[in-house]
Order: sequence, then structure tokens, then C-alpha cells
Amino acid sequence: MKKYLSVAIVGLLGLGLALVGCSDKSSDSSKADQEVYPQRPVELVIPFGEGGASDIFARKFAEMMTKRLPQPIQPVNKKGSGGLKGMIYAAQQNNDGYTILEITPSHVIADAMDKSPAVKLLRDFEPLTRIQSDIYILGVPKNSKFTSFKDLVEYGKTNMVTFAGISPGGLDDMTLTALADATGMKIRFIPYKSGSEVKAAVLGGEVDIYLDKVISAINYIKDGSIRPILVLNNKRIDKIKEFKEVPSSVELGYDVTIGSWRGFVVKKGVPQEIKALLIKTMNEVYNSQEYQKFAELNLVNIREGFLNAESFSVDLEKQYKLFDGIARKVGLK
Amino acid sequence: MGEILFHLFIACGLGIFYVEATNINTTRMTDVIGAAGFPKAIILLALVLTLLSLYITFKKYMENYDKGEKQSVHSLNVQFFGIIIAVVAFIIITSFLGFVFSAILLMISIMFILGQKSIKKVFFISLVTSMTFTLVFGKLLHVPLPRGISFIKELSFLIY
Amino acid sequence: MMDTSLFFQAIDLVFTPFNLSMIVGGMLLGVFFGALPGISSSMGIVLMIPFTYYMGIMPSVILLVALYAGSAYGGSITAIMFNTPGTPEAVATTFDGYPMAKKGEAGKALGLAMTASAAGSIFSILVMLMLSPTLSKIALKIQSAEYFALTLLGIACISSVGSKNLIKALITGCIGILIAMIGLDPMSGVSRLTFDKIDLLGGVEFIPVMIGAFAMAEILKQVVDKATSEGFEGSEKISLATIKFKEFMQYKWTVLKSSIIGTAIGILPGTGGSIASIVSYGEAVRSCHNKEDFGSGKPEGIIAPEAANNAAAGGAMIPTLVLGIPGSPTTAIILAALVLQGLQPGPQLMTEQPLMLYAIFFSMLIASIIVFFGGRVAVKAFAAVLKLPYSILASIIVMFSIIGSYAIGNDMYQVWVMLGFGIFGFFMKQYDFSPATLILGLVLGKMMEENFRRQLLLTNGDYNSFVTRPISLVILLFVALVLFYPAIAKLFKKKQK
Repeated sequence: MKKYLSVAIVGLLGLGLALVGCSDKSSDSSKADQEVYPQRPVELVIPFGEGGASDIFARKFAEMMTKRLPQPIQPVNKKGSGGLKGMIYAAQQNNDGYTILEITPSHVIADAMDKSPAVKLLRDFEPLTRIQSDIYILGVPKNSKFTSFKDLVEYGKTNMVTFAGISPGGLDDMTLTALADATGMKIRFIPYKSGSEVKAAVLGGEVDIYLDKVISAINYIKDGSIRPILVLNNKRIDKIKEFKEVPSSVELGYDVTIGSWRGFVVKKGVPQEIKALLIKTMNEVYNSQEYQKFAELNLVNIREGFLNAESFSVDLEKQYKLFDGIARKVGLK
Repeated sequence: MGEILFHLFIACGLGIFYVEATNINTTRMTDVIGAAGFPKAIILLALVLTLLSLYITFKKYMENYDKGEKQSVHSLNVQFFGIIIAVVAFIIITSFLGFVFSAILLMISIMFILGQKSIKKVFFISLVTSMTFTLVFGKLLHVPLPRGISFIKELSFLIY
Repeated sequence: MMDTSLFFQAIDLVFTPFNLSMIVGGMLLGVFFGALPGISSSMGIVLMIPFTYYMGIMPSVILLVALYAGSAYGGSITAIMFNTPGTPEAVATTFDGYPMAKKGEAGKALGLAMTASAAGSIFSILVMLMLSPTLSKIALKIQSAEYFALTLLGIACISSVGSKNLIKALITGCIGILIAMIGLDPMSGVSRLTFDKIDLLGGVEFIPVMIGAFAMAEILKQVVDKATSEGFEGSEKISLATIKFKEFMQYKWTVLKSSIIGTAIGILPGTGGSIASIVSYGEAVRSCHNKEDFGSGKPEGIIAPEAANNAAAGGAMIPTLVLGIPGSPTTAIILAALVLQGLQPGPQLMTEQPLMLYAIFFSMLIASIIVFFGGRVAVKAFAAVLKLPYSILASIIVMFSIIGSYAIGNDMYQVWVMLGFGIFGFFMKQYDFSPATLILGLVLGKMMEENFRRQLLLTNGDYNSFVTRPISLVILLFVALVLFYPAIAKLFKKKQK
């Protein structure tokens, strides 16, 4: 008895779905042209795994965008190859505005290093907005022999400085290579698998220096186990008391202010009005109190991160040239 | 016999990997071993071991052969190939039919291959299981399952 | 470390109906996520994060931690029943768990796994409460040289895991290491062995390989075997009988040893349950007199990896809480969730939130105690699934294998990988090559290479540095012991005669 009942229920369910599907389809074809975007959930491709800073940010942002749109923004993780896989996936989708891609400097670097000739960020995508810009700080363990950046540079001119990071040929490697190039110190990049292993290596004194984001370093600095010696920015970080005494790179005469940032792009050829709607929604979210609180919490509001589509586009070109230049200079390319 | 063929297969695979390992770009030397060091060493080690194992297997095979014991290639049956083909077909058709329909077809074919006779049971179970999988993974866990093309795609948005 | 007033405050905090329901709910969800292949505990936690926005710090910590503890249990269920490890941590559980279930003792296998898991978990939680600060300081002394020695210890387990045919076990071990090396070189970032395929650039994911080599290969094997023997009808002799607590107690030393191994390895950042369970399994085989029984459903073969991987889950919480350095990817996400709640990760977490340690302690403990007493009974429901006719069971397992692989990267390419290794795994089984050592090489290979080369990079190519560091030397000596123990033991026996 029970069995037949469940058969009947499933059958009815299937029938119902089919009917709804059919009716929907007929209505679709009748007004196919003037349908209002978005008709169905929009995919937000996160080119990294679950749980990282980029993932958490994008998920939060998607949730806030969903509140302002008739259809949800659905985050989809496509991890692998330092963000390349997600970018390639996004490039394979239609340019109908139902796929948004989150990007970070890794994608510009992939372009500059020519990692995937088939898909290029600058060629195949159009920027919507940039939302965040993180500042890198240079830190040393508490019992390090270096008390200031000057010490480090002096020492580094004649000796090899070991430097912990996570992506060989990636953002942290490039950034410090640029800094080393500007200061004339010799560095050796020591790659680790993840940020937490880098942290453990620094705390345990296995390496000399490392680069970190403000949010993930702040508590170690407060605690005294890590000492910041340089802020890679054009001015000091005044908002946080622990950083007031830390010089900025520009103030010391080194023009290296590379940091991580996060923004959104769509595939080239997405209709203008869809792009406009997405940009408008992103602006609204960015200016909302909820987002600003989130940014404050994550300390990503120190350097203005927001760029509109035009300036983001200009900035991407600039970044491309920058990374291309570094790669050529140090023989990565 | 099959065992010997399998050894040869592994040896060939290792050979192909070795050729690929010689293509590794080692211009940016970081450490003394370099990017190609470990892979090459491992491949060579595996190759030596495989040849050793092949020799042992071959010797055993010849001994048995002399004794007159015939060892054929292990009997692979229709079901074995049936399941592989069903999965391959599934992977190919999902991009057109979407997940739900392909899953139903896959389950039906596997049950038939394995000799499930009651047609009612086959259809019922495949329908229920596929729907459960779709709802749990697609709806509950937000796994973006393939949706297929045209009207099947539209239909899929109603389910997950 | 123990602060009695905080301790009682924490009891007040945790033992409210709401928080207790969070623990039970979180644990059940965790078991569910853990049991589904391809859905990692990290993904489960990410999915729960939006709910925690509305909950306040303590309840969300309690929920996430209980979920985390639960997922470590869930992995063993599909590993034992379908030979499909739900998580990488559960791979070693398939070595003996599935054979035991195949013998018709699925209830016993699941009961052993659950009870051992809970025991391992409780052990590590107690360690966490007592020794957190001391242990995390020691963990920082473990650096590249020591990590290399540790991975070597894991790889040395090939000799005990694959003792039936050592040469073939070594071959598959090498193949595993080789597969792990596909992708970007960890040291210089150049692509290796990728055949210019973009899919291979990110490396080969472990889960599809494991699901293929274990679950899919097993289906193919059953299909070939059963066609000639009993056919595809359901087997009648499946016993749902689980184990009694008394029976379990005879394995107490295995449990204790595995728990210690698991906790110790779990504390180290960047390692985790998969290494812990393999090393612990290897140690169980090594120290046992009847090595031949392993791989055919020996109770110790289930207990050792399960106690270890759950202990590792608890161990991984230690550096996460004390240093703010997550001991595993999943704890990293728990930490990220705390950041969203307005906490900042780092060493002051404990001083700023003194109740947290105790709240985490209690929620993990309660979850484990429930599993300890309830788990053995609850598994009956799972084991009953095995009574289905094989044609139905097989089609469900194939679905699990496909979707579990797909969900890893949301990508059909992973399903191809799974199928490929399914066929490869079938022939491996057919000709006595051990799939277990393949996975061992796969999990440990890259880590071994990475740490070896990193140490050389740090010391400017000084090979001696591996033996001049005391901890590294001790571990390496232990590796030698594992490798040559059989030979030494024989020598001693001869002398005694």
C-alpha cells in the first residue's frame, strides 16, 4: 500500500513539474524578447575553493546582491590552477549576463605570464567594478635580528634573505621581487602550501620575512609575536594604533604598493542594460551600511578599494604592464 | 597473460610520463633538485620495479605454461563493459539532457545490465533515487548540477 | 590552564536546550556531509555559515564545531558500506572495513568504526583541554625537515600495508606519488606532467581517484565475479548485529595508540586526518603478529584509522585556538566563520574569548559521547541498506561515485578521472597490485617532495640538515625501524632458537 502511494505521489509530482515546465516554456517564447533580466539565478563564479578570503567575500557580496534583485546570485566554486579554471569556465558560458566572475590579481598575473593562451582576462572579459583593495605588510618574527626595514635592506645587500609565501610566480612572489628589485636586496622565495603554514614557519623562525594582509596579521602584531616593518602603501596606516610607527614603502622612496584586490567581471558582449543593472546593484551593495560594516570588520577599508568600470579597466591595463614588467625583469618570462 | 599485458601497460604509461618529464621547464632553478628531479627519479624507480615484477610474472607464466596450465586473459563479461559504457554515455549525454534525465537513464541501464527483471521496480527506483540525488545535491547542497540545453535547461530551473 | 570558574560558566552556557540542540543538529548534519562522497566537511561548514550570521558567537561556534566533529564520523559509513571513502580521511578505513562488511558483518564494522572514532575524539578533546598551549609551542618546532621525515614515515607504511606483494605495492606507491606531482611545481610554479591540458594544471584531485580506485573498481570486480558465481540478487547473510561495549574493550591499546598518533599529527598545521589514519593503520599492521589478516576485515584495521582520524580532528583544533593557525583546511574555515562574527583570529583569541575553549570542548565532547553510546545502535539502519539486491545497490553506488567526483570541482572532467581510475583499479585488484598504496603515495607524495626541497632551499642544499635536527633524526630512525623491523625481528627469533 505504502509503496503504491509513494509511486502515485512521485508520479503526480513529475506530472506537475512537466506541466509547469510546459506552461513556462510557452510563455517564454511569446515574450522572449522583452523578458526582464534576471529571469533565473545568476551564477557568480568564485575561482577559488570554499572558505578562503575571496570565497567568504564573494559569498557575502552575493547574498547582499540577492536582496536587491528578483533572482538570487548563486555562488559557484570552480577552484584550481590559481584561479585559472574558474576563469576558463566563465569564458565558456554564454555572454547573457547570467555568469559573473570574481577576479583577483592572480588573473592579471596569469595573463601577464601567458598561462592560458586560450582565455585571457583582458581580452575576453569586461570589468564591472572593483570592490576591495588590500594592503600588504612586511613582517618579521618577534626575535628577528631586523628591527627596521633599513636593517633588512642593509643585510639583504650582502646576504640572502629568506621569504615565505604561497604562490611561486604569483602575487606575493611578484610583490617582493619588485621590492627587492627596488631596494637591491637579495631574496629567496620559500613557498608553502597555505597561509597557515606560512604563519607557522614565521612564528617558528624558519624564515626571515613574510608578506601578510592586515586582517590576518593584526592579532599577531598586537600579541607581539610578529613585528611589522613596512607597509606597502603610499602612506602609513593611521587608523590602527599598532601601525602608526610603521613606515610606508613610498615614504622610504620605494614605489611598490602592490596588494591584493577583488572585483567582478563579465564575459565580453553582455548587453549594455544588463551590465548597467549589475553595476548599479553592486554600487548599492558597496554603499550599504551592511557591506561597510563587513569591510570594517575585515579591515579592507583602509585603502579605498572601489573602482567603477572605466577606472577598473584602466587599472587592469596598468597592473598587466606592471606584472609583465616584473616578470621580464627577473626572468620569470 | 593479462598480468603481463598490464605490466606492459604500466611500463608504457611510465615511459610517456618520462618523456613529458623531460619537457619540464627548469630555467628558473630554485633549489638543487629542481622541478623535474623528483618526477624523473620516481618514474625511473617505478620503471625498474615494473620490469622486475614483469620478469617474475613472466617466469611464473612460463613455468605454468610448461606444466600445461593454460592461463587466459581474465574473463571480462558483458556486464563489465556494459557498466563502463553506461557511465561514458552518461557523461556525454548530461550536457544535453541535464542531470535528472541522464541519471534516470543511467540507473535504468545499470539495473538492466545487472539483470533486474521487474520493469516496474527499475523505473520506480531510478526515478526516486535520481530525484533524491538531484534534490539533495542540487537544491540542498547547492552543487551546480549540469542543466542540459534548451527546454530541458528551462525545466531544470524548476527543480534545482 | 584549567580554570574552574570558567569551566562552570561554560557548563551553564552549553547546557541550555538551544545549544544542546545545536550540538545534536550540528553533529547529525556533519555525519550526513561526511558520509556523502565529494561533499567535504569544509563545504558543509561553508554552507552553514549564512545561518550563523543570525546566531551570535557561542551558538555558531558550538554548531560548527559539532558539525566538524560529526563529519569525521560520517566518512567511515560510506567507506565501510560501499568502499567509497566519503572523505580522504576515511581511505584507510576501507582497507579492512569494506572486507568485513563484505563478509556480512557490516553492523560490526560500522559499530567498531563509530566507537573507535568517538574514543579517539574524546581522547584528543581531553588533550586539547589540558595541554593546548604547551603542545602548540612544540608544534612550531616541527618544520620542513621534520615534516619530510613524517611523510617518509607515512610512505614507509607501504612496506606493512602492501606486505603481500611488496614489489607491486611499491610500484603502485610510486604511481601514486607520480600522480600527485602532476600540476604546478610547488617550488618554482612551473607546470609539470600536464601534457598541456588545462584540467591537469591544478593537479589531480584525490577524491575522484579514490572513489574510482575503490568504489568503481569494486563494482566492476563484483560484476565480473558475481556473474560467474551467485548472480546479482541480494545476499541474505548480512548481519546487522553490532558490537558490545565489552568486545570493544579488548582493543583498548590499539585505540589508545592510534589516538595518540592521531592527536600528535593533527596538531601539526598542514597535515591532517588522512596522514594520521594511514600512519596509524601502518603502525597497527606493523605491531601485529598476524599481519596476513589485515586487508580481509580485521577489527584493528578499522579501529586504528578511525580512532586516529577523529583524534586528528580534535588535535587540529589545538593550534587553531591557541595560535590562530588552523591545523587543517576545515578548521581554517571555522576560523573564517569566526572572523565573520567579528572575532579576529590570532593568539589572543583565547584571552579575548576565554569561554570559547570550554564551549568548544563541551560541544565536541557531548557530540562524541552521543556517538559513543548511540553510534553502535544507529548504524543498524545504515547496514540494512546492504540487504538490497546488488543490481539496485550497484546503481546507487555508481550514482554516488559520479556525483561525489563531480561535486569536487563541479566539473564532468572529474567523473572521467573517476572512471579511468575505476578501470585501472579493477585491473590492479585483478593482478594483486594494491590500490591502498596508490592512495598512500597520492596523499603523501607531494608533501614529501615539497618539504624535502624546501629544507634544501632553506639550508642552501645542505642534505645533512635532515639528520642534524634532533626531532627529524628521531623520526627518521623510527622510519628505519618500520622498514627493517621484519628483518630485525627475524634475526632475533633465530638467535632465540
